[in-house]
Amino acid sequence: MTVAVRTNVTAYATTHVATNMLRGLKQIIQGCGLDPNLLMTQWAVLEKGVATWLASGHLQALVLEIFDPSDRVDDRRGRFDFTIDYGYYTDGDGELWLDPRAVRQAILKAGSYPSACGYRFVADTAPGAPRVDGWSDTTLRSTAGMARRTVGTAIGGGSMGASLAYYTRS
Amino acid sequence: MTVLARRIASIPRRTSVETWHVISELLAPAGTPARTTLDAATGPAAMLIAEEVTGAAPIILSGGGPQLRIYTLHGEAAMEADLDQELGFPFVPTAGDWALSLPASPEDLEAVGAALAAISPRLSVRDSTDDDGVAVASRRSASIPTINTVELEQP
Repeated sequence: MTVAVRTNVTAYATTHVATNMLRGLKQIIQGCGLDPNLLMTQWAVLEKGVATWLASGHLQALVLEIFDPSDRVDDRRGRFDFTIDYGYYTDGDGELWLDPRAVRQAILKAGSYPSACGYRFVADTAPGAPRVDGWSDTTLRSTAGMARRTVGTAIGGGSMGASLAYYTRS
Repeated sequence: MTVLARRIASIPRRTSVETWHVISELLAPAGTPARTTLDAATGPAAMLIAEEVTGAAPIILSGGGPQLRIYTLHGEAAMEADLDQELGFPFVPTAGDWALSLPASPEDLEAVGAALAAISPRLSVRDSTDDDGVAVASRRSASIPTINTVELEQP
């Protein structure tokens, strides 16, 4: 019976963290003045990938890259990272919680972007991550010349914590 | 107006997309024409479920039969929910003419409305904070004595 309960706790924590990272991304996209339509159209694929890789322990970070497609020299405009710590709670009994203030603070600090900016989602996964339909391999844009700032842990559950950081061009 | 309600366990029991699939199965079983429309609405619907607006304001399906109201359960309520209470309807709710209304917070109305309009005129969004129509219907349904109390809309 204990095993069954533990299984449920782990599964619930995975779902909680996965879905709330997507909620956080939505809050960031809207708060920064970007069009949420892309997020809506990709929601199912995003949630499937993030939940799968959280459950398998391969998801290291979920990244939102913001870029200006009209800039052919340096299109980078901003970036937000949810970074996963699988040992945030050592006993694995962490309650399911969400701190929307951390997301609001990141939005406030990062500022807004022109509505013409585009964005994409990148899952940074460890080697051996299972394939998920709708996702393809890519490489993150360089962060050279950008400053990274962490606002703290935004989501927790089970043994996991997801901290939020943002990048600005320095 | 006869009103039937269901409460569907959502996050963290199910992901937002899994929750929408359960709701879609209740309203339009696989293979029915309406299911294609509901499947196409997965992104915006799942996003609203994740935002938990469907916990307080129902997804409303109106058609030839009773009005159906689907709520989602979140957090501990979802974890403790009895999935056997997620009963199907003894009819196909989308068999005839039908329309589905999703609740959204004011900041999501425009984007979700545009997304749904591009899918089907049967789909619409309404302000979840301005649900006078639902409240009026709830009071009416509470006086209907012939419906199983499990299915009654709670005022």
